[in-house]
Amino acid sequence: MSVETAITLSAKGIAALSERLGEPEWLRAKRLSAFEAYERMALPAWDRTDLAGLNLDAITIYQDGRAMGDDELPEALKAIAAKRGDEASLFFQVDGQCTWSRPKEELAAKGVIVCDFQTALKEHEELLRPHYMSAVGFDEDKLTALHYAAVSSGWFIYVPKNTVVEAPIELRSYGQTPGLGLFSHILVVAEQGAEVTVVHGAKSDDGGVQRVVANIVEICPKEGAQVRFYAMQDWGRETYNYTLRRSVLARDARTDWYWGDFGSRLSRSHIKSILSGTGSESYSYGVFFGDGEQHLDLGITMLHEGEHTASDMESKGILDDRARVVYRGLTDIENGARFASGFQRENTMLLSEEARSDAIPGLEIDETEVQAGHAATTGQVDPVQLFYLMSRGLRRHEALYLLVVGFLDAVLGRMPLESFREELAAHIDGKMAG
Amino acid sequence: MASEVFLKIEDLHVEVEGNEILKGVSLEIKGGEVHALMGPNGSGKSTLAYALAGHPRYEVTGGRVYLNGQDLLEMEPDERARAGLFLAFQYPAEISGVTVANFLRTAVNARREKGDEISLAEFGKKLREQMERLEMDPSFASRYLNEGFSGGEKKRAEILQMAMLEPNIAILDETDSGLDIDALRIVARGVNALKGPNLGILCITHYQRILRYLEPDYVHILLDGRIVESGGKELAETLEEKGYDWLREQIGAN
Ligand SMILES: Nc1ncnc2c1ncn2[C@@H]1O[C@H](COP(=O)(O)OP(=O)(O)OP(=O)(O)O)[C@@H](O)[C@H]1O
Ligand SMILES: [Mg+2]
Repeated sequence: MSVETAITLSAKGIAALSERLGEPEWLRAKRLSAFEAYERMALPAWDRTDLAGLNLDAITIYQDGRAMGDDELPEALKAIAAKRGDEASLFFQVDGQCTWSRPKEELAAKGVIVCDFQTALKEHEELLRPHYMSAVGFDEDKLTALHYAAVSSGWFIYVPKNTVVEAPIELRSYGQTPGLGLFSHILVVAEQGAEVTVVHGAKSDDGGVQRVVANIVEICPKEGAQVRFYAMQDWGRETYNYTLRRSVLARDARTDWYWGDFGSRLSRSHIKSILSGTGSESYSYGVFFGDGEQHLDLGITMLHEGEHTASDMESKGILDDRARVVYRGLTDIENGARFASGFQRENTMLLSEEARSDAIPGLEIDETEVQAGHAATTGQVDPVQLFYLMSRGLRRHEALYLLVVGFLDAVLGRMPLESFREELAAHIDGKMAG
Repeated sequence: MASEVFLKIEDLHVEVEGNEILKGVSLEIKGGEVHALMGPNGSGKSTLAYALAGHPRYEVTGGRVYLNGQDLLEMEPDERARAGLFLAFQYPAEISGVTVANFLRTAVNARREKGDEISLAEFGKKLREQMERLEMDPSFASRYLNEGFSGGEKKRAEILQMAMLEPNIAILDETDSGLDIDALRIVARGVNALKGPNLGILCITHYQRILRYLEPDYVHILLDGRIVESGGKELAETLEEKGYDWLREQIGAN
């Protein structure tokens, strides 16, 4: 795609982007205030995660695109389309604006909306507007501001009242042009009693050039609605990935987060569920695998505000080479959240002496009638187990492979969607093969 | 024709954390033979087993070991296993998340060339047969390796592995302890079924009862890191009657 169509990060660029997307005034105003906040704010000074290598100068934030034919899809997406067949509704975005989709009939038949933001703004502005930016504000830090200033891709998903979407809605973001920044927003609105499974896979070919990703996912389940959100990232090894996923839950609503973090140079992937409705529940089950020089800053927060709210999180990960994870799990039970229960477990297995894991499990409880607990472990491969397997003739790498797969098995087993488990398993295999 | 399967241990010295535990052990086991190794607690029986298997904490400070003519001590633990050595552990490790079947298939395939992996059907058939022989419930195949197994179940699972991996030399480290009478009979029968010219067995035990089934050709007594007495199966009987003090006195007298 030609260079003239590209837009870079600057005051002029942001205005031009708003123009190009033809967005309504209210959104343009949000975008401009976000950019103003972006310019005003310093980079976040996170504990243990250093953004010194991040370069935001004049990055490209947008290039034009068009609908793609089947043959134009990157190989990885072709493979997914072939494999999925009829099992999921598929929506792909390459470099943000090049799109391909294969929705199942079910969606239209049930009045379920899945579309990009430009289309949503034209056709469903009244549904989108009250929810956009409802969970994540534009000026939480410089990178959320960057997201809201530069956002041009992503999807709006709307599931009407009491509607159960049977097949997963599978979204894929793919970065193909080296150096192109990707700013995607996924907004899921599930009306009262609705149920939906959404999968988002992210991947890029970085071609040796730094890429900046700032993605935000907002999930809004209304009373009794249930959203299962599966996210897998395999960003290229030059990508600085900032991803926030957040859900504000109404009464009796439920949000399940399933995730796998494999790619990027540096990631800050944070999930937060705000359990404000009485009886709402949220669960997070995920795996990560870092190698090389990767730095993964993973955070999960379960904020209990309502009574009888429940949460659980289990995260398991592998680190090899000089990779590092900073894991922040927080179960936060506010005063008034009586009869809440919140548990968390995180375990890291180190395959190398130089890998490093900082697990920071937090339990903040400001209420008496609750059930809560956490447990965290980090350790090298157990030499007793390794010797046992090798004494049966397994080569070191074969034995390590079984130990890794066995270690992750418990949390993979908690993910109901088989295609997602398979995809994670394939990534684990790929990492173990080296 | 002379059997080609043999394990030859010559003057083996082994240290654990700087303490010499084995102080010159020599032993030869040929295909078709069953040797029993007895000796009081702490005499070094498991040390011999671990050192042969290549456990990194057991440092060989002297001597030589050959398996079918190959220098065993030069090999990594996994190479030793693929060369035909098998150790049934006194305390097998528990491996969460890895099923018995998955593990065994990996272990069987580790002995085969790439591209010549055992088919699922063939593997499944063999596994079922061997489990039946050991009277193991089929559900064990899909359980995690040794996790939550009772002591007796672990020992059975060790013999199941031996049956699947078809070693030339098998060292059974107290496979009989922790087994009730029925389980002992089943396990011993399982081992007997594997006997043949291509399998030599070293059975480490404190008790006569497993030896009644296995009928050892030789019995050796390890005392304080040395084999102090070797004989036929009657030696085990004498030992059961008289205890180790009898031997200690005899050594002292010499
Ligand atoms: N890993 C180890 N670390 C420290 N000492 C050890 C270790 N393994 C064995 N030893 C010591 O070596 C000696 C021999 O132990 P070993 O386990 O070989 O005895 P054993 O004959 O198998 O005894 P048992 O009949 O109780 O199984 C003991 O004194 C024991 O404490
Ligand atoms: Mg022992």
